[in-house]
Amino acid sequence: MHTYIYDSLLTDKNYSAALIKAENKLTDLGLIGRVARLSPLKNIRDIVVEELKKEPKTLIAVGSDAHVGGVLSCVARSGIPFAAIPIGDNNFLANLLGFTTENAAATIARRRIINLDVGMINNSAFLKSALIQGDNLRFLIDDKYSVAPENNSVVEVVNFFLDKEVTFENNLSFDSGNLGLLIRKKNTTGRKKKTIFFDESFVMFRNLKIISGEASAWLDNLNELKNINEIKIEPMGLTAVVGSDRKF
Amino acid sequence: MFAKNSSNVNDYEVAPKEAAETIIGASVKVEGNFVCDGSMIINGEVKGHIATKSFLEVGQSAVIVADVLAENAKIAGRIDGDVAIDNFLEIKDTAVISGNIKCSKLLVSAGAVINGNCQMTKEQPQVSKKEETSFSNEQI
Repeated sequence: MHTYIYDSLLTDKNYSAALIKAENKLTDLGLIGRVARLSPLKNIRDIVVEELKKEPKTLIAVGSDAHVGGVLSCVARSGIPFAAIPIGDNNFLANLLGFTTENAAATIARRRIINLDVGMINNSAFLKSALIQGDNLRFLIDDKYSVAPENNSVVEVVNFFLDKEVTFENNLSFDSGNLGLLIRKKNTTGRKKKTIFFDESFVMFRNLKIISGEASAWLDNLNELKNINEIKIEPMGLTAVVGSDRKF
Repeated sequence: MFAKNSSNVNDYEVAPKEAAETIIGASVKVEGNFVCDGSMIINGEVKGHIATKSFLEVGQSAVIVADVLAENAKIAGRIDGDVAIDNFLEIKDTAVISGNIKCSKLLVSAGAVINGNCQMTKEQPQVSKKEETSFSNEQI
């Protein structure tokens, strides 16, 4: 049986039409399952861990991108296939896996499953990248050497890049078994304040420890994690249902 | 690509064979055993030890206090340490190297500063008889 984890925002009337439409499609395709609803009083990790114990056929996050990211960060390493039904705006993460509000039910029914590397920070996973923030940071890479960026740098840990995201060629991919540490300087230019990046640094690693400075991370730019101390690759750590329009 | 048994140093061209695996920008400092298999481009500060089984490019802004090992290298920055290159080493005019150099093929631009011994290892570029003669004539 499938398990659907509903976002707390789905109680908002603005989303009820989209939710009913999605539920009807799921019913039509025979994708019935348990529903666990998130509320401000319920911890997302507790709910996901509880549902994983029941070994569902698929664990499906229904809701906003932040909710999809939150469920994804807890479901990694379980071996249970993950899927998403995006509801609301800005569905970057769900779209990355090939899910849109319109095609989600059909994509889950088609059940094309792949295994992906994920990054792990303090027991939470991220799929695409994590933005690292903090001052006077120094990272120990694979217990071999340290890297210290300047304070005003943009620091990201990346699992894979999308097309034309960076100017340099690289060997990073969703199944490369490595993460990348990307350090860049940022500037805005022109009337439209277009962001340009320069002075890029890039190293690949499997394990990164923060040996100086207090850092926080934005997992997939959606959910913040404070006081992080270690980032590592979990090869093939996420089993996911993907759509034909996946972006990687 | 590297010209095999080339008779002219200008036939050599140092370039990474594949995508750079590691890039260190001018604003980043690295310390320790900085080792990787793929190509490296360094424009920042590195202290410790540098080794790659592939191509190493040391940019003009780079400041390296380390011994350096690579298969091929192009150096335009400052290195305080020994440089050991398996194959071809190109030293640009802006380079300042304080340390001993070992390589099998070497190209040094006018203006480069080298304070140390230079030892050629393995095969050396073959110079044809005709070029040897013309070189001798020029010297005379």
